[in-house]
Amino acid sequence: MPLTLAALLLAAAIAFFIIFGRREARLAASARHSILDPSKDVLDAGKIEIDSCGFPKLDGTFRGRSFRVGLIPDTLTFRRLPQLWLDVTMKRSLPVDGSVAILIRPTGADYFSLTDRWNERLEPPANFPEMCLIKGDGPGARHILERIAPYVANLLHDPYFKEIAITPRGIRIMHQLAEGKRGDHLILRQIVFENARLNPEDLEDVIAAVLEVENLLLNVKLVSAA
Amino acid sequence: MNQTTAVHGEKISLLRVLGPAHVWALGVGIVLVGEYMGWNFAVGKGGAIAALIACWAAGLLYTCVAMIDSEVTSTVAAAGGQYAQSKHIIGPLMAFNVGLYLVFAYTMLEAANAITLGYLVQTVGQMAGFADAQDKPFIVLSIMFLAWLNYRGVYATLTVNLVLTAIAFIAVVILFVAVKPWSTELLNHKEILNGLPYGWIGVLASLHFGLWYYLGIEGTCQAAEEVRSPARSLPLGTMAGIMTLLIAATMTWYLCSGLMPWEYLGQATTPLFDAARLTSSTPLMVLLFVGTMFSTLASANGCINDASRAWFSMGRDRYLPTWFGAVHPKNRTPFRSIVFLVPVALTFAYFAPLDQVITFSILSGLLGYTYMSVQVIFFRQMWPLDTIKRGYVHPFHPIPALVLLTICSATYFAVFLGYGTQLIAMMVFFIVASLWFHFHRYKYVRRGDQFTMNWPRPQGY
Repeated sequence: MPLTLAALLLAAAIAFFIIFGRREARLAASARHSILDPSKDVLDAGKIEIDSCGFPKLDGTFRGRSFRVGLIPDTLTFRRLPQLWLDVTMKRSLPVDGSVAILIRPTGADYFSLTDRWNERLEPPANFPEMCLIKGDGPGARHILERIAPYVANLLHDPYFKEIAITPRGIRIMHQLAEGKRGDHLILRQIVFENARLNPEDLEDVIAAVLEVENLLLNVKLVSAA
Repeated sequence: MNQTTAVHGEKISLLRVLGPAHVWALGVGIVLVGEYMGWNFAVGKGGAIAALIACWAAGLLYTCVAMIDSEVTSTVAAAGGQYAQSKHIIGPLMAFNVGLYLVFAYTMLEAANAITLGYLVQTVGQMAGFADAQDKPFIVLSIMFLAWLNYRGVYATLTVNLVLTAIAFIAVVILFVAVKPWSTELLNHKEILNGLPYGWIGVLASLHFGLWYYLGIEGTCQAAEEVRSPARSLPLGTMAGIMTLLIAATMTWYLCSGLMPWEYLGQATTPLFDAARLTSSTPLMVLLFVGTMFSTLASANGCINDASRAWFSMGRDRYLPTWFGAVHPKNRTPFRSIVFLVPVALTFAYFAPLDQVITFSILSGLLGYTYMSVQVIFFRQMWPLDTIKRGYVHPFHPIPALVLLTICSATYFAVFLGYGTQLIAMMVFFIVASLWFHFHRYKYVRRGDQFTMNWPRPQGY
């Protein structure tokens, strides 16, 4: 009899936790889906969709340029709290004959970084901070770096800044948007970006940086080593 | 930007960074499973008193680990723990070995968790009248299910899971109170305790499983990405965890050693659940069943996560075929590493006894700790205090390193006393793996990419 009672209690507890857990999961998903909502109006015709990881992505235009704003949950570095990276990409063809990616504080597991794709390693300019990995591709890579270096050096000193990449197809800046809660990660390796949200002014700052880099590159007809 | 942890560039006190949930997490979350199983094999090696001495000696070992790890971690800004540290301080061959230590320590712990879970389900099933209940299907099921969860990458979070894991800790406290430690109604230490049946050599032999109480607690020293926080540099968080575990371990030891004779306790698979059974209280049995289930599941989940990430990093660094460094395009998980390690965990969980699986896990951890003691001596010689900035400087160097090395050496001897074959097998494995790396794999490693810190040239080079 006591065993039956215990089994019943256990079943009731499991049922309670399943119902409660599903409600919690729904609330967590809803909070995650709305991370970009505050910044939707920064882009003209801004459209939010949910990606395969359950995080939102925003597409739209800013001053006639096409932008994509995405979120990358990063849990792949051993002994580091989960990170939520903000990816702001301007999609347009640029008059450059090369590509450059500048990654700050590389860990070796930065799978999202474009430094991963190219083999040519470039020396950081003198005013760049420590722990900077710069990789390029194509004959114009060094020249692109020289042109943007004075401006990008300031960006790199922002502790939230992660990467800037320039390719003939556009410009991308990655920022840290949120860091996972320590307790949830330590106990269950769960990823909780509590109260994560993208404020409009923050998105505008990143877009302004992208446009400034674009301006630096467009000031010459062809950014090339030739 | 809206941050969940506002640590950037601020001077932050430990108390501001660590809320109650964090302190709980630091103290018991990861290694709580050590209270539920495994520690009691130390009793079998030298008696209950020896196990308690071993528990406290292991606490000293982990205090040294916390101090040393905090200093080096505060300097190597790139996250990655000992693996990243070894790349910078010694080189690729050492990093390859440290990566393997981590993978094996976690994979064997995962297998040990699955064995315990399977055994518990079998025991409870038989108590409930299912005489034919078997542990093997549950072992396989738990590993496969958790691997699938990790493969999918569960971004949803459930507070309820934290509650259930908290129950695992509360269950120990409730059981401790329920056995009325102030009376001799249930506990019978006077009759059951038998001193040191094998003398001091038994105490030494117990040291082996004494490490189990804390194995992996240095993992609580997590990097807050990007700008290093003062809290991360401080060893106090890990120290608080060690102290919490010392208290929990002593409570566990006290109630188990007062309920069960050492001959039984020393070979039990689920000592806390068995203690609850001896109280004849059904609610306590249910509570400890739930506690054991969730502590093993939570631990196994963390192990799959950490082992796969260490294996993934080794693939990314070309220490292993780069095929392992792939990220799932949709789930953004290191799916190949997760899948590859499943049969390894299954093989050990299915075919090896619990004490041997635990021994492999402890040995892998022990190799890592031994390396830490050597590493910090190299580190201080190559980059003295005034050459690079440190977030934390551990005191009394080189005493903690020497104490750590001494306790590690004693523990190797302890392992040799009971598990000499396993010790030799593991050493042979690491030697063969190192030879493979040196003569075959090393040519694929991009040496320029290994050193990501802008440190000055080391002294003497």
